[in-house]
Amino acid sequence: MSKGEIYQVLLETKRYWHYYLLSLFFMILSVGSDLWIPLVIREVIDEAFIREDYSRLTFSLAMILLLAVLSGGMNFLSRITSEVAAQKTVKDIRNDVFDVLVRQDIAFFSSQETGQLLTRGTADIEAIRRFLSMGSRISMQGLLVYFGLLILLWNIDRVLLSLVVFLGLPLVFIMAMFGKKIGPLFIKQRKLFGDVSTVAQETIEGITVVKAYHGEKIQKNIFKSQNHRYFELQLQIARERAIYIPLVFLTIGVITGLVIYLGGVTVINDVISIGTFVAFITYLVMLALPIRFVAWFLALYEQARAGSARVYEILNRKPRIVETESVPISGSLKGDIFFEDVTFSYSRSTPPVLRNLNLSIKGGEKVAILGSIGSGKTTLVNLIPRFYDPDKGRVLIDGIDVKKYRLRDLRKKIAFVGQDTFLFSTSLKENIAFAKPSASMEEIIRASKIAQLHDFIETLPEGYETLVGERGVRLSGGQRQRVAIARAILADASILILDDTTSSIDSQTEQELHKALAKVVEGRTVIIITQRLGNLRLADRILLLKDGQIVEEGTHSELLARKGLYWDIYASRTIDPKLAEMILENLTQERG
Amino acid sequence: MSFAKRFSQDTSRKEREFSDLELLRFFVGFLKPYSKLILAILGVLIFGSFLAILNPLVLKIAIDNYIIPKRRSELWKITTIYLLVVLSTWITDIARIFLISYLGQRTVYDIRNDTFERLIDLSMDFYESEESGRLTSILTNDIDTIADFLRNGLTDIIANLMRLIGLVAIMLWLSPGLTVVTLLVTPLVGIIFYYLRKYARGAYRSIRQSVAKLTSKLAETINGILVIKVYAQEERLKGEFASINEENYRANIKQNVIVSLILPSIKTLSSTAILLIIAYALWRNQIAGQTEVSVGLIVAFIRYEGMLFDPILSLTMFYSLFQSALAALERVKRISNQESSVKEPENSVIPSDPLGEIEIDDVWFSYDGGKTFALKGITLNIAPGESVALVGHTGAGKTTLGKLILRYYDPTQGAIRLDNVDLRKLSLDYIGRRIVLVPQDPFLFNAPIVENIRFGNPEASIDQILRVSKLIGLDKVVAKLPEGYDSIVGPRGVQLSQGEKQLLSFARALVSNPLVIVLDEATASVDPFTEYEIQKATETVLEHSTTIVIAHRLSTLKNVDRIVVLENGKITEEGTWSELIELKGAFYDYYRAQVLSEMKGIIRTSN
Repeated sequence: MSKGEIYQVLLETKRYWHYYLLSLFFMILSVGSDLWIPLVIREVIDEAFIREDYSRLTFSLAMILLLAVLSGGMNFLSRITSEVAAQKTVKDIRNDVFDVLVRQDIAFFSSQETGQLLTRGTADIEAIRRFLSMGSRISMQGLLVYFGLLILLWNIDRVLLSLVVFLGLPLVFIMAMFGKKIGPLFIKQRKLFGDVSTVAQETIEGITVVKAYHGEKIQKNIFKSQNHRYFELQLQIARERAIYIPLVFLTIGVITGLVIYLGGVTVINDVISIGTFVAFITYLVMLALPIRFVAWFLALYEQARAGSARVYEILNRKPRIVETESVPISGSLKGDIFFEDVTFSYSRSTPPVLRNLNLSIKGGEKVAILGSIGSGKTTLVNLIPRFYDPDKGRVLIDGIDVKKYRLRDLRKKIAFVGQDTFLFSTSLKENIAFAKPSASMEEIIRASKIAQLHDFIETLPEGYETLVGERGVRLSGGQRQRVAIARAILADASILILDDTTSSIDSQTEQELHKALAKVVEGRTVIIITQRLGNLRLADRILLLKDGQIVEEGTHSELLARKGLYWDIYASRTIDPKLAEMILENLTQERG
Repeated sequence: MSFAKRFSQDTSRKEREFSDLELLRFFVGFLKPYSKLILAILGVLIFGSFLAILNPLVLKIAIDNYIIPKRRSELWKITTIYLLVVLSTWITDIARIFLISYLGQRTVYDIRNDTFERLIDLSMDFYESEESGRLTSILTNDIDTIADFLRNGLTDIIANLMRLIGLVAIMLWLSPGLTVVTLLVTPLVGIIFYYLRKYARGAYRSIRQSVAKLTSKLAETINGILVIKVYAQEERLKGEFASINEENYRANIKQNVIVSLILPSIKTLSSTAILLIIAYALWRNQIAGQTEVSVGLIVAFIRYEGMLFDPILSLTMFYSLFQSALAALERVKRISNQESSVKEPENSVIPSDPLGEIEIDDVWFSYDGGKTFALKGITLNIAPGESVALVGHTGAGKTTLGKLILRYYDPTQGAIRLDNVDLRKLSLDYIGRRIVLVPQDPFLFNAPIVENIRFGNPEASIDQILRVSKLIGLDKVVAKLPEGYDSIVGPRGVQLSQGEKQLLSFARALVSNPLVIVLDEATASVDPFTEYEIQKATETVLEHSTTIVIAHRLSTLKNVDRIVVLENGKITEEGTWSELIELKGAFYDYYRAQVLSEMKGIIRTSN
């Protein structure tokens, strides 16, 4: 199953096949030179040392030097080409991962840990790169040395040849066993490491709760036990390595011992020369090097396999929200929104959050949505920019099903300020201008003024250039919300959705904000979800949501007159009746 | 430029709190409990080096004393010795791999536990100034870097240095002349390294920078995905990411060109050394007119020469591992050295009669060491079971006062007492269990709902949890989830809305049976009806708890026993709801403004 993903990685390398081929070519030259050197040494020993014939000595020594330089040079070129190929492949994969990632639907992101996703884009891809560059080189080099040896030995001595052939068999067996044992352990290692880091992350992020309930001991114990599991697994891996890797050297050593004996006997019998014997021993040493890397190769392979499985889980995932007809939107929308018999649930096993909901909002209308927790307010507005698609029914904007629009165009026409106000760790200016990077400073300041943010920014020593987060200032909840609102104002969209975005702003600032906002939203469709009646000032109409259906709608006075849910939940509980009457009277007089 | 100057330039990292020596001492501290194990490892390493050096020597003897003199019948003897060396090597290999891994993993396990425990015991002010992602990365990546250094860098360098000494010794013993010839190329290797390293360091740095950029771009994209989708900025970010990716690619290629030079040049030099060995041997033999350098000796020297380059290679690896380990150690040590500003008392007192009386006695508090004061002489007594609301503008000091009651900070001046005992004399454990905070932005663990509630009180029974959930209306939320109370809420509770999270956080507080509870805007995202239900529930469940409420929505405060108005770090008004309304002071103004705002909202929709 996971073999499939590493196959996909290999397919990815096809684009750069000529690099790999070139690398192989250089490698052959390098290994060839390497293998040639002992042959020259053999000649020197047999002729110069034993027979004391120095006629070819200078040539031989020059040959060694030449081969040494050639081997090094070619090895370098081979490394570089395989590295370039691997880096190019990985760069492509990483770009693809990013592309596919940002195309995924919101549902996907809310089901994933940030840290886990991050690992896929960084460490997992890095594992693939290491495998492609080093892994390919190690395996090529090992195989070339081994087969080169076989060819050479064919001409030297058949007995020794058969020894080398048989040397291969136990080694292959040992390595296969090792791979089989260690593979699953590597996968488990990743998982357990992830567990350790998840506990750490959760404890640190939730430190207020941990401290508030004195959960330090609990968290310490959880961390300790996860850490211990990771430790135990590491020991298990160490045990396997301690069993298998020395076995490889033992095999080579035993074979060398046999060569000393059998080779020595053939030398004594004058079947082969002492020079040949020395060359042969040198070859065995040479062979030990790539074999030493086999364990490393296996580790690289297993890590790449696990890594590619995780990477391709993203790459192979189809986003659920896709364009059907890609109708472009040019200019602005009128802003008519129509929900037609919409039913929606987050998963098949949960009851629907919206049930056969019908709703019509006219272009330029301002609507407030009230409702208790879990009544479906946020879900409802999430369907408009297509963060989710309804299970049944349709959502129409300007008479066209939202599914038919080009997704990018649709979202550019809708400014949505959610409950969770995310700020990028860039400057305040860039944060505000996120939707419109080309915005001029005047536009940014105008938007900030409306969002009641400008005065605050002016108090900062670096003003709009102040960095947010990590190295910059930490903003309070209310300030963050106002940045998000300024961002939405600057987006200049036809539809503005505010999902409880003033919960952390104090009432005085909120009032100012409303006053300023009212002018900007003229002519645009506005949907505002709120728990505060003050926010109703922006609305023409109130919708009351209960259990995924609209149960009451109308103006305040219409709803009051009904003495229904609205009266019960809001009007009667939030406002002191005596005071309200008094103020209402005042206001009516003012208006009159 | 002199060697020393370059070296010092490169190692002078900025913002360093500890010297390398201090860091190493800190590191050695973790190794101390395993001194016996370390001795055993050293023994194994020494024996292993001895065997490695012995191996070519046995081969030499086989060639010179048995094969060339054609002592066929005795050849088995030296073969047996060779095999014995091989077998001993096998056993030491097993011991070496296992013992070194054990030491490394064990130490890292200790460091990780120790760091986590120190970290979690630090007071809240530390967390308020640190990025959570960075702290997590210290516990995971940094500590792994230290492990890597211990397993690969440190033991490798020790093993190789020991072998190097043995190698040179045996080479000198066998033939001083050949030793000199063999070592001739080593200065060349040194020079090559020196220059490559210089370039490599710069290249490594640019890789690290581009990787950091890549990671933070990715992290930000994942965390901010909603905003990105809202404003359809995917294409722009793709472009930004692709250009950082390209930068990373270039840095990698540059670094690889340099690193790829190292091994091939060593190989070339190593083969050149073979050439020198042979040439020297022939020259000596010719001068002497007899075999002074035997074939066996040449074979042994060719092997020794090959082994000579291992220590040099590991030295290059060691340097980068060592530098990253130092950087990691520095971050770990910083946590270990961090003093909690809130300290556990030496002799803690347990109040004999826990009632929940809070006495705030002329409390002054400054965040910036006395330049400005957030609280300026607050004196307030809260009776057991009383509910008190703190009201005021942003920055008036409400939240600060709340934090002092929870002992996140200690007052700069004055004292806070719980049941007549100064908070600083109570154990942190006692304060943690008895004084509970319900924050505006609740944190949920990626665990089942029931576990999240139980975090407030591990002994809470299912009945208790169900009862509390029903009281505040959480049961209706839970009913909609696929697995009810066993549903997992997702990382940080992403599967739930803000209001639902606040509800759950409230349930957690209600089962915890606190003496004192601080509600900091705990229901800001909850609808008025649910808020009303929560209030009723709080009144019944926490009847005997002292309650401190911080709230913006003033209409929710009608039933509290007392309202305290804070302005600019001072108490300006105090009294019951109706008293303060009648007073027509600051509170009345706030309230009037709020109602006015709400009424304006209503008026607008009335037409």
